[in-house]
Amino acid sequence: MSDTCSDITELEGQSLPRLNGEGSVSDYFALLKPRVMSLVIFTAFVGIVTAPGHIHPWMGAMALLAIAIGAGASGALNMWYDADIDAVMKRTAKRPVPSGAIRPGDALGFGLVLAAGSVFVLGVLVNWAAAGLLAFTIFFYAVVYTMWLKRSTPHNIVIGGASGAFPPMVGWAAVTGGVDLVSISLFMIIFLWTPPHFWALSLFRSGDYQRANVPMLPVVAGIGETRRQIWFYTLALVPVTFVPAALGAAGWLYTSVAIILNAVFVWFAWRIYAAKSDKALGEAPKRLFKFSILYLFMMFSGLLAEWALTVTPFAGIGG
Amino acid sequence: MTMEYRKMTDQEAARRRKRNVAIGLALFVLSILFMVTTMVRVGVNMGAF
Repeated sequence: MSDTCSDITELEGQSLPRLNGEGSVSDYFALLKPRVMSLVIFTAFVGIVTAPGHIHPWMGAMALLAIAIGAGASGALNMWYDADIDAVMKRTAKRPVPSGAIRPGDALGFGLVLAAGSVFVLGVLVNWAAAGLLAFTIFFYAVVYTMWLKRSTPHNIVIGGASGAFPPMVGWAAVTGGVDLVSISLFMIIFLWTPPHFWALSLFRSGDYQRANVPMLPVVAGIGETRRQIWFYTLALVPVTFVPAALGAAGWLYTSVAIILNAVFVWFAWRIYAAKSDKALGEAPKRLFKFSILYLFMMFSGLLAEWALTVTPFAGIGG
Repeated sequence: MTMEYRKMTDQEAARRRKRNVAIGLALFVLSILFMVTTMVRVGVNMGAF
């Protein structure tokens, strides 16, 4: 990581005044990547409530809190390490570390304390299987993805996407104390959803990644190859979304939601894949990117709704 | 050897104060959470008898 403590950050002709490292509370909150955190909280929550078994509601809430803080710790460690490339990307230049609001060392300390605290709390209060998975998730995101894959391979987000896919598995393990096929299927849905989601973003942000020297697929292999890969991963994603139903963990409601969502997702991906030329893509990548967020949220909402309709209220979460 | 320190501006001092209050609040909330968790666990274990 390069030193980011220069006085001025230049970004596309505009100068961002450096702050003095005395970050406000909201700067530290931003370090946790709250938007990413919200998706983690939601998918982990679905993992907790849909898992077979019993967990006291309070313990479920504590597990969710620990998972959320662990996700925030990952975000802080990512922002600490990536400050140099965040500073040259338009989307990330105003983050607390590159903007100078928080010193890199403070971000590192904040991330490490939260990471250790969240794993310890989850282990002591809930169970060590879930804590182990959470620790692995943080390690995978901060070390495997951020420090290694992101800057070295165009498949960075394919493998690195695993870190975003673990939260429902951690939630599931908080209840069952282990991993099974259904929790793996929840993992696989997010794992296979990540490449089309991020590559759609990188199609209309490739200039950013190029400036930062991040080997995203459009930068390294070109837009045509990225379009093909989006299509192939979409085709791989669709059947996996039906696995929870095939395993008996979801029924007609989830299946119906999945059919509709998959149809729209495939349509948006097809629009990208079948465009006559790279220039003819237009707004298609933006549409897929925006829809992909709704897609994942609705897919897990389907599981949640199914659980709410078919399970006797509070029977599964009682102490 | 003498060390030279830069005096914080009022804005910096205010930010630091707010951060300290936030840390204090977070520790207070955590202690409440752990206390309630202990009570819940004790309750669950008592219920098992």
